[in-house]
Amino acid sequence: MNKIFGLENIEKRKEAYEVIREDILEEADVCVIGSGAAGAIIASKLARNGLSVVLLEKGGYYDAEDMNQREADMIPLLWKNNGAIFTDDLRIVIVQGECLGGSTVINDAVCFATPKIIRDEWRRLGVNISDDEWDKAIDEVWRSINVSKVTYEELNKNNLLLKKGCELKGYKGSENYRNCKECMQCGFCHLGCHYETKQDMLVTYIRAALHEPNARIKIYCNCTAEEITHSNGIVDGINGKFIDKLNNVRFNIRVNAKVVVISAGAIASSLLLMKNGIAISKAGKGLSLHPAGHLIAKFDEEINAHQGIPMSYTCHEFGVTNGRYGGFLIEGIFLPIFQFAMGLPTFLVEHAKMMEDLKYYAMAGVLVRDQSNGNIELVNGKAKIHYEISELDLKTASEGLSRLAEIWFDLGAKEVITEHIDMPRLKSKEDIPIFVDTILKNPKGINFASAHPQGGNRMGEDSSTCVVDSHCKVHDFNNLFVCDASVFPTSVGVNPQITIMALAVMTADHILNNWSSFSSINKKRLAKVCTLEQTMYCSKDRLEMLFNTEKGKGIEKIVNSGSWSFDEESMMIYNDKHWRGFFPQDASHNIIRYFGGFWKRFYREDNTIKGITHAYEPNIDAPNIAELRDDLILLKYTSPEYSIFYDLLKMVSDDVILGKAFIGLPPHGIHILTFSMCRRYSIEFMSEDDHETIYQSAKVPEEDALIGRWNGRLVSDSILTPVTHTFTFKKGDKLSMEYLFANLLRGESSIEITKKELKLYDFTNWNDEVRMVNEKFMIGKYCSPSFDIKLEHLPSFLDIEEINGRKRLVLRYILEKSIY
Amino acid sequence: MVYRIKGSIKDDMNRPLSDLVVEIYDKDVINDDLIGIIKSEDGNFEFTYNTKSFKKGFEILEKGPDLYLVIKDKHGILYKSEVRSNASKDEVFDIIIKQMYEDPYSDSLTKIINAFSNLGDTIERDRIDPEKVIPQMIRMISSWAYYTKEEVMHSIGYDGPQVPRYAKRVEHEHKIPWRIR
Repeated sequence: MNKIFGLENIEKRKEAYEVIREDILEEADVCVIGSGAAGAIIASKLARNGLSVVLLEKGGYYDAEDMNQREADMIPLLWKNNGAIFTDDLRIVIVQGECLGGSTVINDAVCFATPKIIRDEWRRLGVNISDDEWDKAIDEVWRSINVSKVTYEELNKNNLLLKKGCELKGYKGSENYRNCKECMQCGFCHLGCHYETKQDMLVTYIRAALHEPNARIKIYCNCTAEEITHSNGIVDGINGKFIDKLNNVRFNIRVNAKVVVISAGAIASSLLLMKNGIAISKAGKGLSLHPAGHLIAKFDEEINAHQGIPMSYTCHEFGVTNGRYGGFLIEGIFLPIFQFAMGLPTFLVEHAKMMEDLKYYAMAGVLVRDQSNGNIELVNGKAKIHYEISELDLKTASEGLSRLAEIWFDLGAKEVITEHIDMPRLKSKEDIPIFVDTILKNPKGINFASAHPQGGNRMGEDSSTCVVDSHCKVHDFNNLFVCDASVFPTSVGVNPQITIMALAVMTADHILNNWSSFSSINKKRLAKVCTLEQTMYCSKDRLEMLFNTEKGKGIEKIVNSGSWSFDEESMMIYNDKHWRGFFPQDASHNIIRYFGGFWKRFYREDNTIKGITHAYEPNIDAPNIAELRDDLILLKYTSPEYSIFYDLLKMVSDDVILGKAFIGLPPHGIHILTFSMCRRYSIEFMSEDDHETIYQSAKVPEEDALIGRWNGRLVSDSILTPVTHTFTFKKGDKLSMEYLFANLLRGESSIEITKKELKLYDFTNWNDEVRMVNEKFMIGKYCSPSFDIKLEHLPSFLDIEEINGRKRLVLRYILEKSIY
Repeated sequence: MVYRIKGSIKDDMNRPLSDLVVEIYDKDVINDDLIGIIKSEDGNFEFTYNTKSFKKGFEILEKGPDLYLVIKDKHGILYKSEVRSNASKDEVFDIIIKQMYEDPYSDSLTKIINAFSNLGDTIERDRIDPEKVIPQMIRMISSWAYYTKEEVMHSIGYDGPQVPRYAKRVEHEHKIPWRIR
């Protein structure tokens, strides 16, 4: 059923909505990450053409009536990181939307078809899209989002002034095209449209897909994609998390998909590729921002620029829309009051004084078509944006600002307010050349803002320099696409939404036309989500729920055969020596989590099924007897010291048993614990015995395969240890390894690769012995020197190993290749 | 004697709720008896039972059952009805399951603090000019504190929001005064 899912429960949703209360495992033809200008179109088009689509959105779902025109409410709700995204020098603020519909919900609805000279330039840079293809896609978008030209009557006084100024100067200019139907002219476009007149993705493409009876679309909000799982150039899905508004991870999601499309927006799309080691050394390069400066002009008469459509007129004279390659657009703009206050150059008393003249201000911005001088660096999983404005761009910006200042003075402005720290006010036309000099002398003194980050995953046919090809498919991948502003080879020079949407239309059509080449991909993973097959990932409540609703499958198959195997392909252990026990993920006692593992083994004796419950810590073997009661198995403890306990078990599949432990006499015992037991579990849940068996058959790692960061987790019979240490291998002249233990102790180990294993020596007299299972997984031991002392009792994760008749202590661990 | 229970389950927007489990109980002094379990269909349910269902051997004093309903979804209990003592042959339960709605605008401050801590990871301290950044921060904090207040906006001639803050809870018109010029 077509529906939106999310963590928040807000009243009176316009669309069918369900609150998520558990992990999600999805199968879909296509998984689209991001619901903005590109993602929504791709998801909607594919879903309406017969493919099943899962659309993930990091932000929440809010409909028009939630958008209340208040900055204090709307900025935290709709803007990415509350609007606090800056370049690493804090000079340029970058505004992006983070909600269902993405930036289309908070933009000014300005529509420019991709300019002719940009299409030509991109073709020269290796983008294989003809004018016909552009025109067809733009035409489709134009109709779908109801683009129309602003009428003269819709121009507010601010934009009328700019129009008049352009006419006085003889500059080419025109009313904007906007995706708005019967605009209310409230002026709050940046805060979402309360009246639903703005034709953003939410009310156009997303709604169309949700209401199309034959479409198959599920939209998950508050959901962030973390990992793109792939091998040999074939992606099989994504792993993600549901994160609530206070930054807590609530649930996990796994989507198995035949095609994955990343449309997370410029910056975030590059970040996701970088996190996953895809397009290394290409992703994140060549970011452009359209840095925009503005000038506020003070007039004697009331302008009331906040009333009416903020952006409705553009001066094209110096921009790409008038055939100029570099250049700039001058666009009429006004901001809601907090954002406007941020744009005034003073502070405290003087600032308050300037704000009192609000009604008398006119405002316009200069959008610079910049070079692609930015790059994105991955720091702690976040994007650090480095951007230097080039000399040429600075000249363009200063020319733009000086032209605009002239316009304002020609129209009779009393003063012009700038954003330069050294020259916040221009009193007359004579100040303009000084202002230009000031900008060029101290470029760091001026603030710019960006609402159009672009580039980072450059499009082009040359796979050595470009991330995606002309169909937005990632080079060297069969079924991974990136489609959003991040693929622009150079900055587009106009407000980018139509160009992004046109690319999305073309990408969706390409996927549909070539579906037969994707449809055969059929690799599925369970990932780390709670399902009936993987009860080790389930919470207490979820286990309880499964116990109550699943039907028991009798008792016959409970008996253990003693067999054991490990499948390297799926990294799953099949262990039928006994049933390995798992506590719920949210088991409250750390003691249980780290020390209290258990197993149960069942065997047949005469006509009864008997069992042994083994706890590792303390080391106990308690005999059981099992009896079937309806679809439940009553497990009694037969020895006197444990006879006050009993368990109720339910075998829900051949490899999974759900259980509840009680103290007292059946059926009136007190429920003390819910647990599950599995025969089949993923390698990370291995026991110490499993560890040793797999270690014995693992290979000696090769030097090159080691390079990168490996996350280590201790293996214990009680499972569930967090990451305890990381090993980072680097290769300069020779291989080196830096370890970090408990995020505290850092150092370098010396490396020796013997015929048997990789040996690492730190500053202690213990050493590591490591072997490799596959390119993403290694298995190791931290071993003490041999000794002869007899030890009675050890914590469960510390093992004793006998080698050549002498004993040593062993700390067992696994190493997983980090995606960072 | 045959008893009948029927009723409807709706949410607070009057939409019928289907596929909910309706458990019917007879309240007793010691253990409540489960009389029956049914599922709601298109928001309706109906169940018939007889005297045997609630009169166990020694409960001879009991006349009609002391009925109550428990409504569950797959995650647990959503609703428990009042107990109807000595229920009649025909009992009708019209149940409205109220949702616990969240305030979408709460926690803004926590979000802002989170935003700044995220920002901290992404800046290059050596590249920052404190002389420029500190006034900017002061301007941001003071503007946020001051100009997001409606009385302040109005005092300087800014018209401010044209709709109620909790628009979904209040009937309101969509009118923009300056549109009629």
